[in-house]
Amino acid sequence: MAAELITIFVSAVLVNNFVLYYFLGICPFLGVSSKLDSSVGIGMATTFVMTMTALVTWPVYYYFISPETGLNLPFLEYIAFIIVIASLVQFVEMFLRKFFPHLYRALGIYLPLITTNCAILGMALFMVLRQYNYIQSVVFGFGAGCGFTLVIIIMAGIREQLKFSPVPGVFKGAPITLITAGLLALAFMGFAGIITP
Amino acid sequence: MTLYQSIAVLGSLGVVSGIVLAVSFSRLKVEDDPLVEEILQALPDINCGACGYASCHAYAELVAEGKAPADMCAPGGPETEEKIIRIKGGDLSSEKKIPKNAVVHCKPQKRIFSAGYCGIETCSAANISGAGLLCRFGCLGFGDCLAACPFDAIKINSSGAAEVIPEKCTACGLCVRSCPRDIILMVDYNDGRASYVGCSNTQEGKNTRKVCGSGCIACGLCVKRAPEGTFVLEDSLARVEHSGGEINVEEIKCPTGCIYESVEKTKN
Repeated sequence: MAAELITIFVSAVLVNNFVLYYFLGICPFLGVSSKLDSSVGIGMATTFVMTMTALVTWPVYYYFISPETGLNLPFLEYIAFIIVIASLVQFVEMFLRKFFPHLYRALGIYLPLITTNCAILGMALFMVLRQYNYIQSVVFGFGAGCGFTLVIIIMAGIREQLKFSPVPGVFKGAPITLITAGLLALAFMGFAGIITP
Repeated sequence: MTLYQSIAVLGSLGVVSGIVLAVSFSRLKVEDDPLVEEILQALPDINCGACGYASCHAYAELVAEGKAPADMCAPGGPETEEKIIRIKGGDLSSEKKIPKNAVVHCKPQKRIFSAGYCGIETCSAANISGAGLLCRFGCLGFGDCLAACPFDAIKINSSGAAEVIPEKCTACGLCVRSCPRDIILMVDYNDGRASYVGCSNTQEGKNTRKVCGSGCIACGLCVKRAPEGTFVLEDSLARVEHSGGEINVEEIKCPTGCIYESVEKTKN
């Protein structure tokens, strides 16, 4: 039981990382990774939303949508998940605005954009596809969020270093960022095959 | 049957999340002072940090609470101050302020190097080794000030030193803080003109001569020839004490030619 959960967690964080293996959630990955502290903030917020999404969507799927245990309404899967994610993001936004106003302003437009972060919907859909039970789903959601946070922090660290590097003119800005992301993905490919999902 | 079920499922999901959000909104509501928003509108909203606060928003909040004075915004200048006072409903004081601009106190004809440099291309990094520039006080020219300036008011001139474009400068002071050699200073601009000594070298005259052809050698001619009290000599370096129309740069005939006049062209 515990070994299985650890496998799911490590798999979501490193081996099948959402950003670098599935290429999900690239928008915030490139958009908010220019500064270390705001990338930590968006990573935390995404992790929270992912964990909560797993917590809420699993019962919704299991009791209402699932063909076996629910009411057999599989066509509602996407829209129900999106409703849950959107309301969670709204909640996170209110929470941050109240208790961390500086983080709220630093994240700016990227905070409501978590709603359309495909990594979160992808996580919910994978959770269903792989037929995880409740605890496994929550661990999977948390692991996916941790993986996202890890990668965005690594990227922000690299980009802060890049500012002082002699980058050739044509590669300045977005191109060098994309090349860095590609190399990072290659490095993470080294984990491939250790655990099969 | 499926139709009714799906309507019920989606409907109840919507209602439940709506209620949860409504409850948390009433608990987590942030009371926004409308005054803050209004003051923010009057500010330039460039978050330069010249006022000493983290952002324009942070400053606007403190002004709205009355914890910060209205005259801290350097880029906005007197106009912004007037707007803020009007928003807050206070009295307008008629005190006129002398406008300031930043000036790079190093304007060599030619910079002399003893060695090449191929390290990190920022002034703060290059300052550790001196980047081969003979003058320990001279402008390194990697443009830390250029990167710090939100108004594009700094250029690197033909000799490789930074130079402030006075008509674009708003005196926010970010370049002053960014310069690792502390050679950018704020200067009073009377009627849009200011005289300054384009050198920061505090070594003795003969040593200054060795490292730069156009440095201040502290001969004291400017102190003698200019009206009294306009120039002072300190640490083997001449400095403009108070600037204005009374200084005639031509008349002083500085032997190394390091006294300049900066004229602000009319903003249009």
